[in-house]
Amino acid sequence: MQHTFPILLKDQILNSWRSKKAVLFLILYLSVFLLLALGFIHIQARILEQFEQQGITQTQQNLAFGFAKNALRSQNNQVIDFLINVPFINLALFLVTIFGTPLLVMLLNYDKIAQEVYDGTLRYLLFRVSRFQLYLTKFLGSLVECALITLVALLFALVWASFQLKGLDFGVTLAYGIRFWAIGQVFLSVFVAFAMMFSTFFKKPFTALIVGATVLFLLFILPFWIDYLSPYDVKYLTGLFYNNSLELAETLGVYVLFTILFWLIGWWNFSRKDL
Amino acid sequence: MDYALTTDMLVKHYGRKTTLQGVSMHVPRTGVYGFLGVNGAGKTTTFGILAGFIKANSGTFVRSGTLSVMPQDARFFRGRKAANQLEFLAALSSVAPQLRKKEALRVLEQVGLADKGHVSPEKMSHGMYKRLGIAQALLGNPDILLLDEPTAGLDPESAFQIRTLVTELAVSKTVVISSHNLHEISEISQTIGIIHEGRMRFEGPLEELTKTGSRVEFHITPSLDPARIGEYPWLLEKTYAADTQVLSVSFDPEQASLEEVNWTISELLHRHQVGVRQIVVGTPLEESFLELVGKKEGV
Repeated sequence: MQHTFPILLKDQILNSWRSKKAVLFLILYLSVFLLLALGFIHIQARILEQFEQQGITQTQQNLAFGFAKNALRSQNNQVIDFLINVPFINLALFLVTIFGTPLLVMLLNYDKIAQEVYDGTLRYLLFRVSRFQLYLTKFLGSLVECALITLVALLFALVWASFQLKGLDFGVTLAYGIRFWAIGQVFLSVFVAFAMMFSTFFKKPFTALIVGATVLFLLFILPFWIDYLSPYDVKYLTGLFYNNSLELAETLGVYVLFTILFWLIGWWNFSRKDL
Repeated sequence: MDYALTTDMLVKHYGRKTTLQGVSMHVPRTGVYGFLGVNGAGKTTTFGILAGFIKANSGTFVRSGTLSVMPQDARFFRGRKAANQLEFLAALSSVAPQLRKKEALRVLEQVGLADKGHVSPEKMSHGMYKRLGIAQALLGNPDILLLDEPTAGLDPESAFQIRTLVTELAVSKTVVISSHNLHEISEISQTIGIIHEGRMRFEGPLEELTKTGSRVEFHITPSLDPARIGEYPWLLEKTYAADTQVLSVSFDPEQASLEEVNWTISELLHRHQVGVRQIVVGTPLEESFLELVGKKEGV
């Protein structure tokens, strides 16, 4: 790897925050995320109050909220044990992250390549650095961008929750929050690679967005893909919900493989196309 | 001969259309190589392949030394100061960290934009934007510069400044400049390459193309029958165009110098009491260009 790699990577990370579009999506995402988080916190606070009056425990609360529905269906005691010990707010925010963030990732990355080809800004770089470096640094820059956005959103929500929810152990909530956030990054990296891949196939950024968003939607509803990539009822996502390292490794492995697959297809196309 | 850049049979297809049909170039070290062609001839595609923007279907190229490009349709990032963008590009051009600021300022000075470093490129005039494009190509002091239509769309003063800059740069560098402005190319280039419909139609020294060492035109009044000029060992061809009243003489430079031919013909015309309005050495580049481009098409 040449010495230009860190320079390019730094620029790609900073460049993400220079775009008005990125800032707009970031504000929009943070607003929606925090709004949903506040909603969950508010609901939980009210229901907790009622539960306390009726003498219902934390374990029963989580089950009552229905987040262990799939786990119960699977009859997996480990999953149930894990879920009932996770603070409700962590589960809620994690589900919001994996359901909502792929869309944000698409919106931030659909034009990562297409826009620069369209604008001609890549041309001042292409004779100075390799295409491989360009593609890799763009991908890594997007991962960092995604990680920062989701981390900031999560921390805001958790701090707010700690003020609003009586008896919430902030240390435990933060630990679970970071765990889910880290795992979520592996899941989201699939969508970063996916969006970038689409960005290499179309000359017009808008076309890339429309096709990419359509395929993303299809991924979420098509039976075959549901098992793998849709955050709804996914087969492999259950690995995230209990302390079985083998199952977790399998889950993460599947997502890493998808990331590599999409990345390689995108890279293959980027390396051979005329810019 | 020592070449800075050579290409061998570059071929490029876009779907069914073949843009380059085997382009071979031989660019000598230092000096200006004028790459001429009408719009769509294949100049930008050739530059694109050399710069790595475009993948050739076949063919190879070899360069000796570092290469930098001013692409025709490239854009700087919006909302970022010109100097900052140059510093970033300098970093990618292997300029040491402590020298990047200086390097950005140096190239800005070189193109006459020393006081515009704080301006975002999109706020610059078209001429300034072009010069900034040349400035980025100068970062890191490359050996070979490819300038794709650097004066297209510029006012005469800006175009003159760029031509002057190119001439200065060509003292120590190899500059390949593409253009369809024949006058401009003939002013600054020592070597010419003419591309048409994806094929090289000519490549060689400017004098060879314009025949400055083997052809003289005498603009005369009144008319003269060329037969009255007589025969000389060095005389290859003599023609007279009645509509323009131009007597053209082609000669073998190995048998007679330009001065000898001039003197001989002038004396002869004087003897026949024919006045000379103007003497033009060689063929205008435009004429040679059209001849090369048109002949093959049967135009």
